[in-house]
Amino acid sequence: MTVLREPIRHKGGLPAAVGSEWVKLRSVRSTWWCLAATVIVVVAYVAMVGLSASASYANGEVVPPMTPGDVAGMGVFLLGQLALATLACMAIAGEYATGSIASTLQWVPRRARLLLAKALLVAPVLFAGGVAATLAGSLVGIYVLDGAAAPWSWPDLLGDVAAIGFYSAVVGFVALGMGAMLPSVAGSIGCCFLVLLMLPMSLASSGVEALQRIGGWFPGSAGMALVGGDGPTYGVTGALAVLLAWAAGMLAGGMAVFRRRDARST
Amino acid sequence: MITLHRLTKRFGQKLAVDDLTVEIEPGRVTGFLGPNGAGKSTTLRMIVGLDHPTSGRALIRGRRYEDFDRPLTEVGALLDAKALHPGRSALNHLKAMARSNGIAESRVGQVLDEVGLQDAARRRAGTFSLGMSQRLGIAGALLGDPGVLLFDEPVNGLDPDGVRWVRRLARKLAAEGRTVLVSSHLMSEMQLTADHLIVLGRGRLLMDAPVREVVAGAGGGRVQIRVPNRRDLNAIGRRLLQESLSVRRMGDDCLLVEGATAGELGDLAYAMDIRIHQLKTIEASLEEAYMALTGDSLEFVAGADHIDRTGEVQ
Repeated sequence: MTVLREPIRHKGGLPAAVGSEWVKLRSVRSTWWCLAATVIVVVAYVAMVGLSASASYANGEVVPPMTPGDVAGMGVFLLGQLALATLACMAIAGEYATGSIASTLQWVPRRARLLLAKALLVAPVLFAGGVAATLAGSLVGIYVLDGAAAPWSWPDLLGDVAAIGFYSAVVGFVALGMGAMLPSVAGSIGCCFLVLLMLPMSLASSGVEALQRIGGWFPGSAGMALVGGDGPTYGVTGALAVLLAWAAGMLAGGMAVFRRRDARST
Repeated sequence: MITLHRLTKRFGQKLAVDDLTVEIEPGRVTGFLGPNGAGKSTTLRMIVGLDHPTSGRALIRGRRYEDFDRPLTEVGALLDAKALHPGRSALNHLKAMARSNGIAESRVGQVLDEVGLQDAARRRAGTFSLGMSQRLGIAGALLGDPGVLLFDEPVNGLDPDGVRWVRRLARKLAAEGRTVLVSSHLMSEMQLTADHLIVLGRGRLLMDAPVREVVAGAGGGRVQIRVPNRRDLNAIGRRLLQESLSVRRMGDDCLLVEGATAGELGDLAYAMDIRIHQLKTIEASLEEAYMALTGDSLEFVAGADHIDRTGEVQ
């Protein structure tokens, strides 16, 4: 038997898997569309709300107190996070849709390693997306709110930006876990929409106290608490704990399903 | 070396692979045959850990695929040429692949050259023809310079040049001492490419033998003898039947004889003083052997069928 050429360069393992996922994520257009969409919808939301508030203010009407960071944060919760969740769902469910999961699992056959690599990549990408959208939205908010803005300071604003960046990373874990559990792009994005937005909002507006309390444990509510909005009463530390629990729980759930499933496209 | 031990895969009620035990040796091309749905692809998918076996094991050099830290340096597989993101360029696909297993990026250019895709490297893979996708899949299989190669229907969609290229590549890889397993529906192609055959039918092992043996097992050659005179034809036919050879009449002036060589038949005709117009040896083909083996409804005279309209045994 001939001696095979010695292959080549360093190690495999988790770092290599993360690097590979990075090449994959940046080399498809949908990634960049989702990130652009996040920033655009947040900016558009802030512009709409801000212009309307400053017009009311100019007319002498009473406007609810809001800082540029608050408005940008609402933009992320109501709209931007869905584009971010789409990005994360595509990173796994999209592989089943195109059939590329069969290639990916040949490269990295250990399911746990692959899903962890995707999470370690998606989290910072979504952090960056959330930060960029909140920052852009806040800057637009400063401009359009103008005199209608509630008193704010740069340190507070940057704190909000960082908090929403963190929340966005958690959205990445939730969506990735969802995509691993339901390997269909439409199905997993739909379920993210429910968990991240519809359920907590409808529970909060239900008027039944028990339901409202349940709504408070959803990630969106915890994210609101993190930026100091009203809602749940568990404070910033509690909010961090709730978000981390969601991130870990969804990833573990996704892992449990992903491990057992054969790599066949859906 | 690939070792399958009592490998079994069940999808609901259907047994796709049924207690398959076989070893695939290095240094030769092993052809993997079987009708559609025989379990070939499922077996290949279990070897690389895409499908989980219901029971049994598939091992490469004694280890499961998942247990290799850099599996692409052990096993290169072309399973489904379209199993990639259509929006990603061939170059980025291979770059991501290389990076996942710590393979130097310089290999990407090398394998693209090797399969002749260097000019298409920056095109989105979704725009590739099936033949180009197959080449990209083969490039991926070669990327980690692995000792084991699995090709599932590699010549699908390739032009005749491409078919020859794949045949030479498989032979070359085997000659380098690698384990090469190629599945195909094209029997003629397998006869040219493979040294050894594994045949599956309904998930079970039907045969594990050298190609030469399989072809010989199909009943060896037959001889076609053409005799212009009707009375002579009947005479030699009766004589051959007395010798308990298998004789089949084909058309007005022809017999198909099994169990005697062209030389023996020529000598016999000479001894009987019978004029003949043609003596022709018809080699059994792998296709015939395969049909006999997989128990399809066809008899193995498929090649002679079109002249066999009227003819019958005397």
